[in-house]
Amino acid sequence: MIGRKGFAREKEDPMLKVREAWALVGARTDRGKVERILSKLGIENGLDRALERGQ
Amino acid sequence: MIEPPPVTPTLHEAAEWIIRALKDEDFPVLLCGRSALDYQGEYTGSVDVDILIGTDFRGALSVLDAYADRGDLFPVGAVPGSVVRYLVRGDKLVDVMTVSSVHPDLFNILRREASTPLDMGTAGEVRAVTREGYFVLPS
Repeated sequence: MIGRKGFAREKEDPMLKVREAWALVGARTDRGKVERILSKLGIENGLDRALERGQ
Repeated sequence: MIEPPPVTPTLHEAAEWIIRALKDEDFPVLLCGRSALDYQGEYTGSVDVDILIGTDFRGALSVLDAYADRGDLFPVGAVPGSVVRYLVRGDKLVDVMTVSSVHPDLFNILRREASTPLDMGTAGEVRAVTREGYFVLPS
């Protein structure tokens, strides 16, 4: 979303920051809540897709 | 307009100052990005400040332009319609963003469901996105 529309869109891997942040705080994050909010925005499995590259 | 920022602001002082400048004109703001998490006790090592504007993005930019004209801020880049990057006093990096182009209600959803109040000193209470809000934004 904003990562793909903001400054990060120019990067080869705009979701790298997401994965880096997930490594730092993902264990304490309510993943279901993230997906529920994304779903309200019409985005399904958005976090999964953001995290999948590099796995 | 509020007074100029400190001459060599810390990242916190830069955040406090620009939030106060925006709140002074009644713009609803949300602190986001890694700095928002750091304020909530995480240690992500943020080196900039990200601020979401809830309404009238162009109006907010016009307010900040006035501070830029005074020499308080330096615009250093933009993604038209979504992000403008400033240096406060030519030093501390601040991104000012709108999310209305992503979803018209995203700001309110984040404020309602994925943010928490923070005491930002002279800027007063400011809502900051939680970990969950952080991952909603760039996903």
